Amino acid sequence: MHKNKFSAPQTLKELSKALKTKKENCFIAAGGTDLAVKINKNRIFDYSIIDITKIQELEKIEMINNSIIIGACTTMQSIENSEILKVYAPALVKAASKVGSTQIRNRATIGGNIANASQSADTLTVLMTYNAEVEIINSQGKIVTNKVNDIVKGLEKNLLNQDEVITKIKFKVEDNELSSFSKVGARKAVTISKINCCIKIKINKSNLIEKAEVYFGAIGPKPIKSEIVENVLVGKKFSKEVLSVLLDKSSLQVNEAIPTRASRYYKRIAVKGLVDSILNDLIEQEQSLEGDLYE
Amino acid sequence: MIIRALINGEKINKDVDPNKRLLDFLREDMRLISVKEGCGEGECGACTVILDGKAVTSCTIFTGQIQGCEVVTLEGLDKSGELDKIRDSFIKHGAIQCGFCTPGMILSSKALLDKNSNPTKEEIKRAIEGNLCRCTGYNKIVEAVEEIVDSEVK
Ligand code: FES
Ligand code: FES
Repeated sequence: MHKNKFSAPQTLKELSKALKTKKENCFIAAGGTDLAVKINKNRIFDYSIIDITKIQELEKIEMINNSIIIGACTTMQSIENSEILKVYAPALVKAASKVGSTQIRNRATIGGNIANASQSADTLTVLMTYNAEVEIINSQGKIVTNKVNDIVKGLEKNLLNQDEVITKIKFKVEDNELSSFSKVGARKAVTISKINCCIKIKINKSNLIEKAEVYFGAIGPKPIKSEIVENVLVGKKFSKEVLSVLLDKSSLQVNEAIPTRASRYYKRIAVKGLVDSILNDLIEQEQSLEGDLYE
Repeated sequence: MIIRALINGEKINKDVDPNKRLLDFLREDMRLISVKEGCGEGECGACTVILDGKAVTSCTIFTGQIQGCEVVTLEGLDKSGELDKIRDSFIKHGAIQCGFCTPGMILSSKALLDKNSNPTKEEIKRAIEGNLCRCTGYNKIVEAVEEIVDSEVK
């Protein structure tokens, strides 16, 4: 019997301590946007909660050398307004700005987005594109680092242990990197229409795409890497000309990922709109970057 | 658990079930029934309140999480007299029909106006995109908020 226990640690130390007694039906609450709904929907009456939103150090966004570090309780709204992220991880800013509604963005956290591993979690697609890692603390106070990709199982399952909590998200950024994100399907009720995409590229001095990272979300239990699309980008000149082949390959990728699902007809076409808007965004970013590149 | 918070300007110090949804706490324990339950899933905005200056859906927050925070509901705006102008504008523009979405709409608009006294139409739309209304078709609501902005700027 949990007798509706509620604790709100204020430091990581207190958090570890609280995790010592965590068992089934004890939930970690951050923004609550998914958890409160889940508890209510599944008619769970006997549960306890560890609220991590009072741990201040989990709300920071910082950049150390080439690494971006984001506290797990950082809200979508803070990500959307972060000057650092606007410059170094525009795709993440875009994804955060497209989550739910104003009310949800004010509460939903990036750590929660990962831990929930919802099939259509928008920021997951971006974080996987950036090959992001998470720092995890356990009940012993031990901190381990893992790839987001290895923690997320998808379909609302993660691979965290019972006594583990994500505390930080980290990824590396490089100069002259462009990234963008796009999605369709905003409401939870219409998951079937959902698909999202993140593209990150690095262009060199002669305007050739040196590296490309591409992920599609919501066409599998978790975001999938699209080598098909990455391969057509690498080595190409970065301009509007890559668009037509990009569109075809994206469609092909969707087809490969969901060859039998009924939504494939729709998604094969929807993906073209996504990729088109991403490319436009990247071209815009490139133009504003050009100054520093060629001077 | 004892919750200490500021609700509609009033300090409370109350023994409550911290695992209850904020929505239920406000309606049942505080009798603030302007806070409505529509979907219970964070999608419709009927349960919107202002928490530490930000519009949030009270159906997705646990009561224990408001420890030390400030919550404002429509009753609070009424008490402070801030509601009058907004209500007049909503009535004038026909932005209220059944009224179920109205408290949430007003609080979302209010949270925006507190931060940005001169929002654009797009900003107004974005602020209320999480508030569903089955009656008005939204245009009248946006117009009502625009008029509040204009009268404030003047
Ligand atoms: S009842 Fe909370 S958003 Fe609908
Ligand atoms: S006035 Fe009826 S739902 Fe908005």
